[in-house]
Amino acid sequence: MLRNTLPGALLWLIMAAPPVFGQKESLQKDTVHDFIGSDACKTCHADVWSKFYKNPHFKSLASGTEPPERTGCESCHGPGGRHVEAHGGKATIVAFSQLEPKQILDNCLRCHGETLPRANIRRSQHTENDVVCTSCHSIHKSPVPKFLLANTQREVCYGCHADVRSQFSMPFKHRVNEGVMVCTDCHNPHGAFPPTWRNAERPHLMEQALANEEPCLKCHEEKRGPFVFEHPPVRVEGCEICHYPHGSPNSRMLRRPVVFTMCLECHNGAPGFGRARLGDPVPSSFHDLRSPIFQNCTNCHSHIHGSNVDAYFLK
Amino acid sequence: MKAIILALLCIGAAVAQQPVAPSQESVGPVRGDNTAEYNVVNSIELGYRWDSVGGSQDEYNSQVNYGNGLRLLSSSLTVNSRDGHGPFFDEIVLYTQGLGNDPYESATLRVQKNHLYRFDMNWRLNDYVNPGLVSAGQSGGNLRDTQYTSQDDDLTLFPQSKIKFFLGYSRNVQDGPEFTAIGGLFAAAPLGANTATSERDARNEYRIGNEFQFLGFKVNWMHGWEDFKQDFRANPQFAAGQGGTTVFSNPYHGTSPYWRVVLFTDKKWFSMNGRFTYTGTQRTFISEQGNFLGAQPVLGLQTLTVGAGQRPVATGNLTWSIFPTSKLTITNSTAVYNVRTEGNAEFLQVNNATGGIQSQNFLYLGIRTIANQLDLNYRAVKWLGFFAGYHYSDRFMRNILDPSLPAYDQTDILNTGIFGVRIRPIQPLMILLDGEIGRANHPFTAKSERNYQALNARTQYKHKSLMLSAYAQSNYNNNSIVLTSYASHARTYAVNTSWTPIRWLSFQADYSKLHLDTLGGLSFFDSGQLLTGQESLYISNLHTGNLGVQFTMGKRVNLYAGYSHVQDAGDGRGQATGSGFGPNIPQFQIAQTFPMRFQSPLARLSVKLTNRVRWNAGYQYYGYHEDFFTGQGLLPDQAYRAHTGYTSVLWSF
Repeated sequence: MLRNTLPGALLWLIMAAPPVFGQKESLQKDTVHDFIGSDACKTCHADVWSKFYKNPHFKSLASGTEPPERTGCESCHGPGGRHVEAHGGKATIVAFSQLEPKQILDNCLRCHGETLPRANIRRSQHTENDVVCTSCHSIHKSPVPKFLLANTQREVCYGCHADVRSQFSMPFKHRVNEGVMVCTDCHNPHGAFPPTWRNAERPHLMEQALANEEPCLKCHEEKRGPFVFEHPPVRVEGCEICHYPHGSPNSRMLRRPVVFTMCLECHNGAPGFGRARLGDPVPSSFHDLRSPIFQNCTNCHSHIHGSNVDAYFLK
Repeated sequence: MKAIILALLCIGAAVAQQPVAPSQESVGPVRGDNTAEYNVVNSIELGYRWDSVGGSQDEYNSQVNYGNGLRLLSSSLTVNSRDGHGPFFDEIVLYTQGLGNDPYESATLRVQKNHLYRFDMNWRLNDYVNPGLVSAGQSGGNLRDTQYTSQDDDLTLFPQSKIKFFLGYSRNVQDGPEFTAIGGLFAAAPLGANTATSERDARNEYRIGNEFQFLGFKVNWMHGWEDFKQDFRANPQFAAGQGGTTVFSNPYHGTSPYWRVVLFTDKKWFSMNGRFTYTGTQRTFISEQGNFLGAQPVLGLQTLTVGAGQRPVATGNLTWSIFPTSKLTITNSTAVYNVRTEGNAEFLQVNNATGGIQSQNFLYLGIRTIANQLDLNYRAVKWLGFFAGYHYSDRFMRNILDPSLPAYDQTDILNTGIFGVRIRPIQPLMILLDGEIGRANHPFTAKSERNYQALNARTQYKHKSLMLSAYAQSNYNNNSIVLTSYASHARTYAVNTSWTPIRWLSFQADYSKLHLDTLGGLSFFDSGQLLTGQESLYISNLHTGNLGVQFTMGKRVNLYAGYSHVQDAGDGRGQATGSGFGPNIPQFQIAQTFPMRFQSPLARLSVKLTNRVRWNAGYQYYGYHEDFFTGQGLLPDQAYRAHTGYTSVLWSF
């Protein structure tokens, strides 16, 4: 039943769609005659106007060459004619506090849509969860000098991601709280391309390095390879198979406090896994795991991310 | 008194715990000073930082690393043209932090002139100590200082025009220890002696690009070259009494040229973009090791390994969105990814009397992934919305372990479904529920995602200055097969609040609990006997809380107090060794849980002396303790207690 119905429903959707296309939220439906210029806004919104020259959107006003619908206040808030006639009111102008998330997104993307960082914004996890532009950006009251963020970048992100704040409070972590790293070093909050590691699942808004590689390699470039002897999980699964990328109670942000248990969880000989699907090899017989020497695998296998010299990653 | 302390603790729940310095308070006139054409806002904070550490100094250096000395703790400068037509620039933004020997330093600069150019620079230094991965009796030497500096420069010409040009340069340098077990697998003396040397990695990346309009599409292309060099600063030597005169050199150089082309169009009823990239990494290396196994002269060997490798990576992405109605967005994204690692190397080994040469091919590894993701986002009514998606990916891998052997091919197919609902019953309250379920047929490793599901729930209430949020997440992955089992179950609960009830008081608090239990299959040798079918159960119950409160007293004094606490309660046992799940070997029993504490209270006082000068002082304590590993056989005592503080003057001129 469902098998017969579904293609029909999809066909109907495709055929029915064109007549109703064009319904992307456009909030500037008034004629050009309703545009009155930003000077009219100064009178009532003096507090906004007095510092607007520091706002990146002031460029549209300073240029003097943009069309009215892309100039100054009316580029975002729409034509102000009726608003002035009515002596104000949120119903007579595009007031972002009154807009639905999709309307906010559409309004901003009129100018900011065709850019590489926002190529995936329509399907990003933020958009799907109604986190849109004004959730993070404060256009008129930004306390930071770049990108009009509503707070410092980490505080904006921590505001929703309390669990991530906790991870950066761990004893071993990337130095985000210390100020040398920011979330956007690794993530693109506007949406990500499918990752080129793992099986392309769960992009987690990751921003790729050198156009197509895991962002860890932006800084840890010595692990990029190629190596004569690659440790395949690094390439296939990505760094997270062994490390917590934000922070960890364990040294080197590893997923386990002691190295050997983490390695042995894969190197257990179980068939079906590994390069040849014969199982990842069990450490050979001289690795007596009662001996402290063998409990820290990277003591000897120091080049575990890949080596040109040694098949066992010893050097 | 108890009530007061309790109230303070509740209030204190708070601001993201960050180092006590630099100060967060601002100084000087908020709107800055006007000159004829520009507005200027500036400040500098100059101070002295101190520390006093008891316990493991190495561990403190790994985790915190603040030291003593004079610092330019922070500075800021913004210059804006008042009419958008400055003679040379319209905006300068300069921020620095920690200059003058703090372990974490940064400088950010933006200079731009409207319509003509925009220049961004970001410089950072991260000075840290590699944390120890040491076993009893094997001191490894991992606790060594590493300095990492990075700089990114980007220049955009005609940033507001339809034709733009991009130029960029990035440079990263990492200077620190490098570890190698050069003694070889069966060398008696140096086995496990992870010998440290000093190594320098340098990366230089150059970028050039352009953006223009063509047939209704915006086209953006970028070509870049990344050059990489890895060289020893000093060749590794064995520790005294552990070997002879083995010398090892291992330069490793290469380049990664890349192309990226992106096309966009954003029409009234649809938007589309395509992204295509190619990165062609090449590396050459030569490794020379003299007097190999020098501790045993009879076996003295010399080896030389030379070669070149390539790892080209090509990707393509095509994403389109259509808007059939104002309430519905349909987005489809298709991605193709292809990488192969190949090359060859030659290995020359010379002993006392004979020589030989052997060619060793790179072990070939090729991965091709095709993925498609279809997502629907639908807002039924103003207070209710849904999203759903279906993701499919097909990963093909080819492995060649030896040219004389056939290639090993394998394909992993992953099907994933996602679903979510958004509810906004009243304007300030948002409730989000979503889930994901995935099925992979041939995962690569025993702990890769195979049959997994993720459930998330998030709620946030935001009204004026009050924000309350709660979050719960459950991740479950089961990768069991007949001969082994792997099941991982992670649950996260988090709550977060911030509030500024009155102008002179604000506070913030968060708490999260992460529970993790992972069951993994093990096989290993115990005293020469292979034990199979063993299992390891790792349990972590990690509690994290941050508290903070900020008072403004009168018009001059700001006081901030905060507390951060991280504690892993482990699996609840009271002793390091016990009869827990899994192999009944003490070393495994200890390794299955890791109870620890890390706490850090801080307080900062800032006093406004004049309109342009503030005096600041602060104190922060760091305490670290491992319950089981401290004093046990597996690791040396790594606990420490550190008192740190600073005093500074913040000045706007």
